[in-house]
Amino acid sequence: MLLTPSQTKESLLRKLRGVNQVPDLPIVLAPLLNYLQQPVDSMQVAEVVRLISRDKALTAQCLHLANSPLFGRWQPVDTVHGAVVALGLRRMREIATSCCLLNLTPRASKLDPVVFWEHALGCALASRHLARAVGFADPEKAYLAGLLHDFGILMHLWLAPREFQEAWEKARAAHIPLQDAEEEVLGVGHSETGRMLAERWRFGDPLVAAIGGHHDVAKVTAHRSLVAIVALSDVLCRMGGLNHGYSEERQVDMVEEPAFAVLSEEFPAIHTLDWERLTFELDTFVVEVHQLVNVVSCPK
Amino acid sequence: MSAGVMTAAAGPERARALDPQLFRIRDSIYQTTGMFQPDHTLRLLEERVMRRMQAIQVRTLREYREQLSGSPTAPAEVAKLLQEIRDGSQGFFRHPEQLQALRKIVLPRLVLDPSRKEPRTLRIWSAGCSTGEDAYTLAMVLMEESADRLKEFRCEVLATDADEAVLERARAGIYDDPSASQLTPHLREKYFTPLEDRWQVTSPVKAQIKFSQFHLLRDSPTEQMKGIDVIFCKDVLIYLDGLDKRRILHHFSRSLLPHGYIFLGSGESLHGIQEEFHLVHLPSTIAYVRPNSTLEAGN
Repeated sequence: MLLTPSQTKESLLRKLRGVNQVPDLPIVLAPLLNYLQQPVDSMQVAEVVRLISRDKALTAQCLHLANSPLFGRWQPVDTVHGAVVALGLRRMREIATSCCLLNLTPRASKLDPVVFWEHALGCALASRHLARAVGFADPEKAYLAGLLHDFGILMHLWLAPREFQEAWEKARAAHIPLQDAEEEVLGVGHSETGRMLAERWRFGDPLVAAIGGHHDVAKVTAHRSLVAIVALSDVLCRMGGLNHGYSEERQVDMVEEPAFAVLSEEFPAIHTLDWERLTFELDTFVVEVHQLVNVVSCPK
Repeated sequence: MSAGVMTAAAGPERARALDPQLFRIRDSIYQTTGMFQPDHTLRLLEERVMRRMQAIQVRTLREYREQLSGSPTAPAEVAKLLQEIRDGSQGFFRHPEQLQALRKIVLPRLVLDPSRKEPRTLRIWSAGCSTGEDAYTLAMVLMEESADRLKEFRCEVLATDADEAVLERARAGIYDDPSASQLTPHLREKYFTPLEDRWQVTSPVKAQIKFSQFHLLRDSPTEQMKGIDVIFCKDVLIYLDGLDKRRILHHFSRSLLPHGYIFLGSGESLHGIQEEFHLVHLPSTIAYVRPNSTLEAGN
């Protein structure tokens, strides 16, 4: 029998607080993710290469991404070291984290978990693009925040798969945002559970803010521009074919989104942003992300 | 296996790299015409550009890019390239995401608009309708909706073009197998009758449409171009400069009802051209509306 929303919420939060209930990072990914979180300036190429190369499947996935035009590579690379040299450590960090996220997605679920990764990757790319377009100083940070913004969905897939599936089916049938359906069915949205896990895994304040605040930007007090970039990119992806496996039936005026007002406080360039071009460029991401997912997501 | 030397399948063998000049040509076309071509369509653009390069005997992409801007013949060459790009883009039910957005978002909003006055009519204008495929598509969409959402509405499609010859073909409504485009066999059976080896649009569909000759730049809008709910204007503005685009958009703003929408062709943008209309995002497509005309219901 399914639990009521408040029972589900209590159970979820209990599991989140419990020492042994929250899954640990997989053994190969933990040192890599931890290493990738430090500033790029203090990273060593050899160590990144060693950490990625410990896992054959992860290596293959990273090379697929490194060879995608989405990451700026138009000539083939066939070794991790070659990829780091050609693309740089910053870009390699994006790629490795993207692959880690894919590998953290549970496979046992009845839902196709790949759609959530597609959305994450699309949002990461759009966030990087939008960050550059408005003059945000750290587009790579925007990429990572976009990639991890829906981390709470992973949480739900692990800890409440049946209830989460019900929420997803409800969202798909009514063509509404997943966050709204989660709040109805689970009693809590992925932004809240994602924030709790991100804090627990010590993701750092900017990422925690983006994960916890992207559905309610107006209430965010720190790292507001970063959160706004992720929130706008999230909406663009949800309207543009990189949603969570269904389309939201609504009309959006980006200028009237709360995140637009927040971002314009620090980055007035947003007022003259070419949204049309950004939207059309997202079409390229959609095609490329679908292709990538086909080759990257094969089970190990 | 030692770190860094491990090789793995680096994905399907990657295709030949695109010439960076192609990206510049894409950007130049966007700046001049407002038509954007995403990266995944650049191979196709390359083919079209090669055809034009052969036609005007230009050898390199760089030289061809120079032909597209700065030279006195640039506007003519841009127009010819656009024709190559848009060649064969006519067809029934093209841009299905626009039609979905029309049915799922736009029509419900229009129908629920409290400012709508009696009599309850809904009017769509296909501006630059060419041989009529878009106009008939819109008429069919409205007929599909008439049993349900538009039950109490009188619907009409106004279809105009400057070229009387293409209008004649549009009025006749006779086409090669229309299901070769995105039209399903079911809709073909419903809205077409076989005519030897071709297909003709049925009379009830034709009755939904008023065809008339109208030059968007030279002619003054008539009374029948007032009170429009939605304008579809595809592959027209891309051939015009900024000034002419603005003139036409100004006409459109006088024709449209306060809540009206404009849909353009695929990849067409009005960015930087005008401020009368706002961009809105609909599922997998975009459209333009007047500011403050965004209805709260359903958003």
